[in-house]
Amino acid sequence: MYEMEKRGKKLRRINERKRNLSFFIAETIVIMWVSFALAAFIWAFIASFSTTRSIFSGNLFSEGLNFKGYRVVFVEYKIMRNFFNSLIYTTLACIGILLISAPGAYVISKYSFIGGTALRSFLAASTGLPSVMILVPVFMTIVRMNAANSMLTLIAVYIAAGVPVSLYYLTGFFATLPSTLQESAMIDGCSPIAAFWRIMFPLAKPGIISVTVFNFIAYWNEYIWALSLMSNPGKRTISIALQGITRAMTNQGNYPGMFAAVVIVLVPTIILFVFLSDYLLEDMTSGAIKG
Amino acid sequence: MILIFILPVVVICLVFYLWPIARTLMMSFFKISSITSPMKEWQFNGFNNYMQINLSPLFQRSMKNIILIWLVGGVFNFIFSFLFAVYITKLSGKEKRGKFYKTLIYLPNIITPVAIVTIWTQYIFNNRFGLLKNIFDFIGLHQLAAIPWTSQMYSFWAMTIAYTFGSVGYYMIMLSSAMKRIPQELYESAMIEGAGPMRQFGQITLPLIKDVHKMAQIFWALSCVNFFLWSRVFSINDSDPATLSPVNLLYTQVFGNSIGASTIQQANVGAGAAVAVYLTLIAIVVFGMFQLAFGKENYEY
Repeated sequence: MYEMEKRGKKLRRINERKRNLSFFIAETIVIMWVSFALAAFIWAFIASFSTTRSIFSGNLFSEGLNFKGYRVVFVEYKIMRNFFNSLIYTTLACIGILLISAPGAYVISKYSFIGGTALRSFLAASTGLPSVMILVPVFMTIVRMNAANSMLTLIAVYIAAGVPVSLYYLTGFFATLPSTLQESAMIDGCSPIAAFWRIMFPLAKPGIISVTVFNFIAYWNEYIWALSLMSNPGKRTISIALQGITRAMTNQGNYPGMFAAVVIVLVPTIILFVFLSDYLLEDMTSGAIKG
Repeated sequence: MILIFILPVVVICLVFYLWPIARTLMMSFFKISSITSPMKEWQFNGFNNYMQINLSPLFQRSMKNIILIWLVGGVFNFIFSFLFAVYITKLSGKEKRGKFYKTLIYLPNIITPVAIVTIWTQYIFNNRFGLLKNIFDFIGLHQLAAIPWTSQMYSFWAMTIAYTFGSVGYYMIMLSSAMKRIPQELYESAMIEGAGPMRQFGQITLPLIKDVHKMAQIFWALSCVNFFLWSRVFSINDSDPATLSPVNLLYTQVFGNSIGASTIQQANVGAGAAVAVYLTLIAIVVFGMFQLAFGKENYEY
């Protein structure tokens, strides 16, 4: 007995040492990785205040501070216009997705009805469907209806594209809420619809916030629909506008302008991230898997 | 109430999913000269679109590209995301630092990839003033420092590195949130029994996060099937063969080149539809493959 204990202690010591060594190696790699990313972001930020000649010389400040890059991007390319476009498209799309997916998810999780299971599996399957499978016919119809380059079209497409994933996630979330609350609200004279919006919807707040944060980022950065549907420069989203600006600046050799555009796009996202990091780093990913 | 609540969802399923899927399937058997041609101008083409794609060197190249990203990028992605996930899970008592690392590793996932690509291609990979050049010069590897990463010869690997670097954070978060649910006592007793860190990982961590690991593998494979933005933005040319992906090829087939251009050279929309059908089949195969590979049984803890 005593021998075994001694052996156990020894093994434990060896393994603790091994663990500490692997921990040290892992930490070194993490620090290198993070420094690399940080260096790239910081350089881009400083370069946006530099000049092309300084950038090529290797000393970003050799010609002092320079704001021309920002002027070009704000004044000539009117990037704020695209910024507000993205803000409007994304906000309205998030609201629309919620208004359709939350009631749908609730009904699917709490009631059984004809076709309910089929609908549920269809929605689950469509979350894995490559979007190119629907892109061409939808685009054709939109062009034929003369609805390309319209804000409402893009928002409608985002809502339709976003509903299955959100609904799938919220279904898992509503399933965990007790149905008794809804019933007692109805006994007190609420209609079923009012009972849902007044009682159940607010109770699902944590799930709803996670879904919305996730959707907001997904549609803020959305690319393929924005690229094919919004060719009018005044209506482009920030991503597509940034691509255009980067291409133009590369051709002109205007590096500070290019990085100014990058910084303008980065800063709001990073600020948002700082406020929402708890949701982004924990909830959605773990929730999505459980759901 | 059921009807009112479910009707919009059903409409979306029919109008935005079912009908377009059927339509794309149908289009893949027709020769269609332009995206705006009405149905009566479509010519039945049998399996010719599929044949044409199979023989197309560009399609073969694009398939090879995404398979390499899936395999080579996948190995790197999962090595680092597992390593970081374990590290972050075990980082007790240093939450603040852990959160800082986590945030920076995850950050590329919430920024528009267009900005990320710009930083990589214009700065990090620049062989005149770039970050990689400076790092390699600093450690004395001047030959590596001189590599023109964004040239035709290297751009595919440059893109794979950059893409994988950004993805690691996403999978790290996914895996670490699963690892956090494993009870700590299991590791304690394993250590007393004499299992080292590698054995603990292989015999405790991996089996207990099997479900999430499977999900992560499926997500990674599907992200390769859907690979588009990076392919389109990374090279100066929208559809450079070196960085071409099938979705990008399809997009070029259907919409022509350059942003929002309406001029279409020799487009065959039917062939584009055939690519979409191919990709959907691949997605189904991928899903089934991982379901089989990971098996059904689960461990309770």
